[in-house]
Amino acid sequence: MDIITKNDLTLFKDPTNNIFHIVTHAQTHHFISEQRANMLYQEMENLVFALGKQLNHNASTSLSSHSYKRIWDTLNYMFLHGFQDNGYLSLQDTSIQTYFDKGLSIVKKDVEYIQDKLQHLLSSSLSINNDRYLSILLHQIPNYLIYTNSYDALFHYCWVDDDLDYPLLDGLPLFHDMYHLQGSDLLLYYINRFSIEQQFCGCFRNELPTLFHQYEVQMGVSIEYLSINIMELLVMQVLANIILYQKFSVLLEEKDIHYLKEKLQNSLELPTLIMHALQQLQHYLPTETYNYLESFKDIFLKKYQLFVFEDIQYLIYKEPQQTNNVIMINNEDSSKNFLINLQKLQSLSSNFEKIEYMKQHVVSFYDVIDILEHDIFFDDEYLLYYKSLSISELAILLKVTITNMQAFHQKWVLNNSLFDEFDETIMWQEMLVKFLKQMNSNSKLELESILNTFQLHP
Amino acid sequence: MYLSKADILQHELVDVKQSFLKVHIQISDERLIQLLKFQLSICQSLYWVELDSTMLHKIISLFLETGSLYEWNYMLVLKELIQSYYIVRSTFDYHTNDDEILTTLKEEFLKTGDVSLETLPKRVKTYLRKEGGHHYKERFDII
Repeated sequence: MDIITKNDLTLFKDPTNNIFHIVTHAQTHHFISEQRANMLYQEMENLVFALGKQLNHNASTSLSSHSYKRIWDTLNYMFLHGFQDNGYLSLQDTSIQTYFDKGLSIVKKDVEYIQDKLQHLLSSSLSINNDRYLSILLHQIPNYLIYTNSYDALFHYCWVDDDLDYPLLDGLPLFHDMYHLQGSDLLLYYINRFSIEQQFCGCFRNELPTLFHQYEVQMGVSIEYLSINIMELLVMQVLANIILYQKFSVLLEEKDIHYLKEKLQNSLELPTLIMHALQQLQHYLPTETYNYLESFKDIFLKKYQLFVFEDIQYLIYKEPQQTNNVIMINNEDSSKNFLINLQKLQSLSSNFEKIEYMKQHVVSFYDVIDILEHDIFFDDEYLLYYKSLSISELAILLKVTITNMQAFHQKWVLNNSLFDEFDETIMWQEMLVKFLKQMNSNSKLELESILNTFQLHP
Repeated sequence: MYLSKADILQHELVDVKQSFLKVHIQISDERLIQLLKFQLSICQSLYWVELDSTMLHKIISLFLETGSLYEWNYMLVLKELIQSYYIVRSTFDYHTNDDEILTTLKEEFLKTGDVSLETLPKRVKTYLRKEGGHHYKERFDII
């Protein structure tokens, strides 16, 4: 935690605090004379002029208002860093340039630290296929570092262009406002917390793949595109294991969930039990990580209360694999005859023959889609083909076409929001929507019930 | 000796007045302030900022030297020229420097005098583009 508190820039917490405000404050409270204040204002302008020329490669003395704002931001940022340990009295004899240079050297040191930390994080990164997590390590932080090596580096220190959108335990720094920090400070703060979380998750390196597989089965969605905090997920699991078995692990069985719920419901003091379990983590974790975890104990307590009393599912466990109502679609022998089938189909002229041929020879549903993509039918001929399919075949076709409905086990309803999922610029999908809209209500109900009963396993 | 901001402005205005006197034009303080305000408003409308307070003087003296400005037209022509300068300046990035733009502006101005001032920015832009000027691109993201 030392590193995090190191950069506690109380100066930045107040949004009105800037270089101009500080000089005015010093003047009104008689730390410096009016003449000295005027000199400082003049120096600021000279500095901005010099910075502006530097930004323009000494070729022009004018610039866009965006760049002008960035120059003031830079001046402000560096000044506050240089000034933070000094009193107002020091403004009497120290020039702004001095503070600026001092601030710049501090910021440069911070950036070097970030660079080292990133190297360390990359070498010990988790094998998680999560978009947000990887984007932080491979794009967002490196992007900032690339800018700080460019010609304009000076003007990039005070601003992080990327969103830093992998959520930490305390949430997402939306528009960077949450931490009241900017530029290198924000990144330093973020990367320190990020590294603690990664260190924690690293303790379960071997169990993570299993856990994420269970997550995928249980939630119906892989963690790849989810914007979730992995540490939060793991802490919930570990606490459950500690309460039940005193075991430092993240994997749970189905029976554990019922047992845990019973145990927590019957215990008189749920908070004490959770706190006790948290304290036991102290033995397994480095002090830094434990302190960090402890500062968020309320989150876990609240979640456990919701889990016990509101019956909200927060824990991931090993579900027995569902074997009934699962259709396995194999892709293997489909591609072998695909070209032959396609050529044959294209040579056929009557619709009846085409449909017959499709039914007899094209086995895989992926092949059906590929063949439909080749425009072998025209306009109303599609309707004819769809009509020839049985309800269950139609259901499989729908599931193969629209894959994202499986996430979180959503319910299938044949309404306009489902039809919007189809790409209507493609002929066969447009006709499929038309066909579905024309279906009578009985077969619609039947189709919906079939859609909701089986699962696809590609 | 330290000069306050108002003093500096006063000094500059005296300099500008002297440049006008060289070509036998008497300019009043109000008119000078009018030109200054005009420069400011043009920059504001283009989302542009001029850091150099002597720039106005630089532009004015450059065109006073051409001998095409007289008692009866100088306000109008100077305003057009200031506007043209900033329109061109905000179109090109640092690969084209200020002096290059001013020289081109002067050359193009001398070709036609005060006749077709409204096409001046366009002509200068065409010339500078041929000279290899790069289009201005905003370099920083600001929310």
